[in-house]
Amino acid sequence: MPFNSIDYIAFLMLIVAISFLLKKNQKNYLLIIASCLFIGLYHLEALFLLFFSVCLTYFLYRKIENCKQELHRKTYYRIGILFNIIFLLSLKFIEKKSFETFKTESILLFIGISFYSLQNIAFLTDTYFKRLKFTTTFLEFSLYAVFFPKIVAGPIEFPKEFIPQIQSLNDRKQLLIEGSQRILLGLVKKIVIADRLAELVHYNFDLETSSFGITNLFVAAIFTFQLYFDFSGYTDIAIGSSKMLGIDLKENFQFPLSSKSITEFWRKWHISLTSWLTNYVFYPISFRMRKWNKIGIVSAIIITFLISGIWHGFALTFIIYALLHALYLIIELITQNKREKFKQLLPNTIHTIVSTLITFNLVSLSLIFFRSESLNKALFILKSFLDFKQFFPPNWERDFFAKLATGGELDSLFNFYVTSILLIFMLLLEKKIRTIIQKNNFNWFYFTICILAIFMFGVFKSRDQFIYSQF
Amino acid sequence: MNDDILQKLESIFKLFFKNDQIILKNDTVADDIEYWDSLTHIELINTIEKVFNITFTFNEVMSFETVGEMVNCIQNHLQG
Repeated sequence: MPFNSIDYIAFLMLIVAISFLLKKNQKNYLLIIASCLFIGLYHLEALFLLFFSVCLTYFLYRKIENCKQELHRKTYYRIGILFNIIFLLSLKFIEKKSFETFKTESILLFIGISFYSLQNIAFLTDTYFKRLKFTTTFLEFSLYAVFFPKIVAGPIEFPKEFIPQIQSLNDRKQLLIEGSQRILLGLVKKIVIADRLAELVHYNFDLETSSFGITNLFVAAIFTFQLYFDFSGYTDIAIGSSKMLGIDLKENFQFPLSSKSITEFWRKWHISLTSWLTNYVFYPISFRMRKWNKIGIVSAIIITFLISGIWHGFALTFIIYALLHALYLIIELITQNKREKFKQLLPNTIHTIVSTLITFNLVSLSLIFFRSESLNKALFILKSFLDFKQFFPPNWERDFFAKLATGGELDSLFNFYVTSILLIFMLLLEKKIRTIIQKNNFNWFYFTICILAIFMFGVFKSRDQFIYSQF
Repeated sequence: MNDDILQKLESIFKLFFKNDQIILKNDTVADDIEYWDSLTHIELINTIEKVFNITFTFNEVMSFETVGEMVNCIQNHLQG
């Protein structure tokens, strides 16, 4: 049941309606039944797999919490962490094999196993280090693990932020408007922007990759926009759905494409994964290596991003993508003083424009590896940037505009212009729209514009999956 | 004692972040200070440990949410 389907919207409305009929102590039962239905109706095997994992993780949680002897606590903790890591890696491995051999859709894509496992690790770690000031029941833990608005692709929730909310779940009728308007924003981002861009990105990356540098530069930039609007659109629907049920999920994006440095970019892009990696990988490693000063920090950055790359999948392209970001951050860390002096030399506006453009292009460059089906394809694209003789095409209409306009239904140049205008509108207005939504007043104008945009400019044919539901 | 620790911390912060404008209060958080992020945090902790001649545990470091909590922790270490 993809978020961008009528089925999902109908399912959500039904659950929200029932939740308002129930008493406070019955709501969690509804949410767990809804989550099981959400998973089980489409993949019953996935539901059994998750049930087994939830039971084992909860059993180990109880052992860690109740055990008096430190040695035993540590053993249970280590078993729990090991189990969740093996669970994650083995399922990812099976998933990769099933793609390679049978070319069939894996059931595991659906259950967002990567996101789910990281939450379990956070739960066990916080319990072991006694960071949680509350006891969690089996029902509460199950809901934390499989709550349907976040099961597919996050946001990755921390136990101390999520569990207290479900322990005192109230009717929050005032959030219905905010939640529904946020869902609408997510649908516009996905159906009107990301899916329109998807066609031309697919054509240029997977079918006929151009040999001209400028064309590939634009395609890489367009993929950056596609990924952002796809993933942040998904997150808007997840946050909006959850709000309608009375639970606040973590914000995952804070307008990252306007970042002035890679450090700032990672504070604003996929925030829940960055926070998880910072708290459970980067801090433990860098703390242990703190006596090594800068070398310790640099080593911790490399290990953290390496893990992030492997988390995305067992492919060299993901690892290079992640290591490129590690390199960017290390360079920023080392050159911080010089960059600060450079900042003083330039007028503020010029500095903002230059640093935003540099950051955006560095991100786009790394995403070429992320998006390419093979390392060879990524290297082919990178080579086109360095071949100065072939950087600009002799025939712009054929080798630039037509390339960007071609693909699927969007086979006319007019459609490309429409997509570009919609993209620019969304980039300029997104912050403003978020402010309007947070005011929590029903805004007819906003509602009408969104519905019109979806029906006039939306792509319905493909019903594409969200990109991050693949991880 | 707490005020002395806070003052000493402030001078460490000024030197570490190369910013004389920094003013620390008990409720100061990382977001209030430019460049105090995950990349600089552990290096800062290391500097604080050296100046006060103490060793934090990992759990203590992870529990700091405000400068005030850091001050209390340093005080506990100094009192042994």
